[in-house]
Amino acid sequence: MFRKHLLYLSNDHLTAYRWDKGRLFLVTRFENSDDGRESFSRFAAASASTPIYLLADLIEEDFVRETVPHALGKTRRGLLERKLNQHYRESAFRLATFQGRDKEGRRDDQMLFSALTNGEWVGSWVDLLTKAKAPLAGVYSPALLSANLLKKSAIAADHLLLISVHSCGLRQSYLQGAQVKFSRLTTLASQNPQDIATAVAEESKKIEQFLATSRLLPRGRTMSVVVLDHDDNLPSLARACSDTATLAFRFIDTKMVAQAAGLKAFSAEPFCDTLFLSLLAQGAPAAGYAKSEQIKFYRLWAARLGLYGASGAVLVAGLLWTASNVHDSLEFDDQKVRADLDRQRLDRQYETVTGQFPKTPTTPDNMKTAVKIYEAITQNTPMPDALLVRISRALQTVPRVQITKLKWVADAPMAGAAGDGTAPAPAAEVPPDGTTPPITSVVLGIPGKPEQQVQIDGEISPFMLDYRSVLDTLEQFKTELEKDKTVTVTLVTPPVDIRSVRKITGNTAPLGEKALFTLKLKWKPIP
Amino acid sequence: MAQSPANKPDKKSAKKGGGGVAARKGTSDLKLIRLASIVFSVSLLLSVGLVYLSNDHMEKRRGELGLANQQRDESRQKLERAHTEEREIREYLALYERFMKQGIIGEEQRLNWIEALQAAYKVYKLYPVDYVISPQQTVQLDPSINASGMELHASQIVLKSDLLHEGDLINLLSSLRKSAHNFLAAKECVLERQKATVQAQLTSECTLYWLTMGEHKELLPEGAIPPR
Repeated sequence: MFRKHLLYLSNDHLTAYRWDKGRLFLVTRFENSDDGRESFSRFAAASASTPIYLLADLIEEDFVRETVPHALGKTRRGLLERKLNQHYRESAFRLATFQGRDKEGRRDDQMLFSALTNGEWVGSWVDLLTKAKAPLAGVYSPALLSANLLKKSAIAADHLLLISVHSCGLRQSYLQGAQVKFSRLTTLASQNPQDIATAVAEESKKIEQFLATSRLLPRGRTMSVVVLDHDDNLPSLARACSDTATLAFRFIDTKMVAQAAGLKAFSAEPFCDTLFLSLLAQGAPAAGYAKSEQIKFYRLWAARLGLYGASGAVLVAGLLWTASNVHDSLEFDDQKVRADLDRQRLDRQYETVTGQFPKTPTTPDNMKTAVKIYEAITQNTPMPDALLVRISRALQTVPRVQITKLKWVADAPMAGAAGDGTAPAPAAEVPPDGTTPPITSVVLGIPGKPEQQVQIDGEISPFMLDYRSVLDTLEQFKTELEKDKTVTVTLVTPPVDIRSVRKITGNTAPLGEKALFTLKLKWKPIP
Repeated sequence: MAQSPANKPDKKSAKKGGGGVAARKGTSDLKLIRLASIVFSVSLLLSVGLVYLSNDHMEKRRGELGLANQQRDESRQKLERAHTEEREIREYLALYERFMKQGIIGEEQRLNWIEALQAAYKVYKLYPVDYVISPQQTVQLDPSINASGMELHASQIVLKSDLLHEGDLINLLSSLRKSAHNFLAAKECVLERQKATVQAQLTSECTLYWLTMGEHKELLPEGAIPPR
């Protein structure tokens, strides 16, 4: 943690301590004299870079409890300022502490107004600090630290009187739960342990009566009295203070309290001054008596510290980021070198491979295309041989069938062959300008074998007006052709149309009648 | 360490007490953090500058690496293509050269074809054959064939002849196909029986495509004499 200066202000002098690495060291004591103040000014000037906390342990500290209407923002600030002016017009060191709200009625705010009423005494020291531009962090009192002490040392009671023995007297702070309600400092006539013990017993009873009178402590209610003192003094305290129906004493060694509060390096002193100073060094309360303008140098010091810290952080972050970028750049450079080497190796291999290419009449792609086209044409191109051979075989089986005309076409419907009921496919498209129609590769066998069609015009002879025999012969011929499952045969024009929807004309005498027919074959070669 | 709101300085008194003095004091007080502010500003500028420059440098290196990777990938693809071409040359060069020798690739040799027709006529003792060879056309290739720089050309030939029987037609087509190294396609054939009084029993008319391949170029206009 940062080094801190802690000032303990009593009613007649001021003592300076230094908080360093969790330990409190006495620096010097400044008397209320010209020399003392001059020395203090020098001390303040030398403390420009060390925050200063002032603990005012004074008799003149007053507390007023009051409820005020609940308000917010500017209204609240104005209201509290008026109340503070009303109670402590003369003091510059005053404080309004919110302690909860009423549970009934308007639910007013419960406020504790407190002040260091001997403002001139405190102000005279604070002014010297301000003049030296020393970073005063705040002005506090043991009463304001009491709640923190009890919380950290896990001492709790609904009604608790905390009595601590200080170099300047006996500090008695009354707390309800974790909230200070009242505190006072009583001077000690003697610092003899026996006298102190007697004073504790007497002051406890006085305080009890005061609290009961002021209705802070309900009648008949037992109040816990916690007395903090050096271990050596505890036996005499125990002898002097006896529990009553309304007071339950508990005596605790200051060293134990300090350890419970987390002050591990605390060294026991005869008085509780250093305990409260250590507590203040460890963590100041949220609110103190100093005005905003009195702690402006502390704020500037904190801002300066923050700026230096931020500078360091920004610089470190920038350097780390830069280092990361440089690292990445080096990595990219390394990868680029490897990529360049790879490219050069591949280029050399390319030169070697292409240098061994034989001289070719054309590009490899063209050669490949030529071979593919040749293979497709020789494997798929249509020729009439195969179908003519099939038809010849069928004719040998059925000799009564005689062909008068045969038309073979590759991949195009037969012209004028609409007799099968199907619409004729369009012939090759003739361009409107009358030029030769383009040739498509489909009819040549690219990409696959085209369909072939044959139209057969024939005659069945002899006829002898034996229609039944003619139809049987034609059916036999058709069956022969269809033995090949890839061939489909359609009878386009039968020798006689015996369908009921058609008219039949003829003569019963054999006067040159012929049994003519037309068949159409479609052959889809297996790819 | 924050002080009570009630402890804030009285603004009214500050105004009355001389705003100028307060402002001067404020300015004087701010001098306490001037050096820290300068240090912070310099640190910020230095950090931002360092980060900007190093980032810029890194981005340039990243770009150069990207370019180097791209060039390496291109070289790899080029090498792969070279290997592919090497394989294709080994696979197709001999066939291509054979096609060139056989006349499948290159200019159409119409005289060879007429001679082949005359040879078939003599060998198979056919009736006289009438022929018509139309001007050469470029075939519209199916998109499934990646034509690259090659074209397929076709010349339509119409043959008309009397036949003793259908075997003559088969022999004629077979002979022509052999002469054309199988690079021939038939489009249409019509066979018709003649009257019994004529010696030839059949008449035939066939339309064929005589095919050749060549690299892509403009076709010769009709009537022009091809270079020999």
